[in-house]
Amino acid sequence: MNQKTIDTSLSNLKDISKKVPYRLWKITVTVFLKEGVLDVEGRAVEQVLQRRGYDSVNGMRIGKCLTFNISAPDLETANATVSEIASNVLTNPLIETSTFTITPLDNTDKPTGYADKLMDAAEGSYL
Amino acid sequence: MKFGIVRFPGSNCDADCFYLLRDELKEEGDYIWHEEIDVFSYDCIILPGGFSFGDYLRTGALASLSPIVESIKKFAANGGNVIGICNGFQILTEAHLLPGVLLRNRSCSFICKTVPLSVENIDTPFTSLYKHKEIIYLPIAHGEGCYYADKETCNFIEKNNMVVFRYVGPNPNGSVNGIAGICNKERNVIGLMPHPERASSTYLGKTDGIRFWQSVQSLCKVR
Repeated sequence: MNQKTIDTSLSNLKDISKKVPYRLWKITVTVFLKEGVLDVEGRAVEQVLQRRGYDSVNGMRIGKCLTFNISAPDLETANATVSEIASNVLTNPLIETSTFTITPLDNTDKPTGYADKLMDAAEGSYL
Repeated sequence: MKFGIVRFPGSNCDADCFYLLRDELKEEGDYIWHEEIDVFSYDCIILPGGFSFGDYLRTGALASLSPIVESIKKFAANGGNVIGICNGFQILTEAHLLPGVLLRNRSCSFICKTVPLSVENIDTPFTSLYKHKEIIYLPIAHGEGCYYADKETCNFIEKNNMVVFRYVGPNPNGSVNGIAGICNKERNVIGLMPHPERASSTYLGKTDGIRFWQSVQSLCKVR
């Protein structure tokens, strides 16, 4: 009897810890080679355009645009996570730069849900 | 007869075609730089495989804007025979000389192997020496060989017997209807992902591709 009481309280505790409010954020990261690093793809496209008569075109740079969703309790946390991903994984800071935008996937200031529902929401209507 | 082999920056199967024409077919082949515009002295134009313009922007996209392609469009409109192999096929679709587009292989990987194909249409200048529905083995080597066209276009292609080669057995790249090669409605422009030029010499071990070239050769000799 005593044992059972302890179990229940532990499981309650777990449930509470899971219920961190979060929101879903839409992230768009653009990555470009830094100025001065030869962008061969950009140069090839620019030269073809110029040969086709669009000689007003110059300064062509071709980068990448990545978009994904993340969950975070607030904008600051989302911002910190994306900054980390962008500089550690999505770019080589030696030769590339990135910029990103974060927008909430919902239009309210309230949490989208709680962490224990995270996977459902992420794989459901938000994608 | 005289073949013109177009060289783009990044073409890499041009020499394969050249040696095939010279050594196996005993025909003349000229390399033509993509910035040239005179193709009308040739009996057949070949757009060889490779990675023209580094596959930048989209495979075949930048090559399709080369000066020579404008001439090839006129050449084809006048009934000239045009062959696009692998990257050449991609260029022909980007140039709208053939319908559809080649997407990244469904497996996401580059595939390099010999595959069985069915010859679906022998009423073309390139397949007249094959038997209808004959199974032949040709090598493929591509990252973007997954042929795609919307349903309406696909129906049009099938209805007009424009499918020339079809993969039999497992579909290597996920192409719609197992399409490996198509021709235009007029039958004088063909694009195919497999490489007949790599299977046309006994010393290379495979000869299923030689009749592709002999078909063109015999047709031009009749003329």
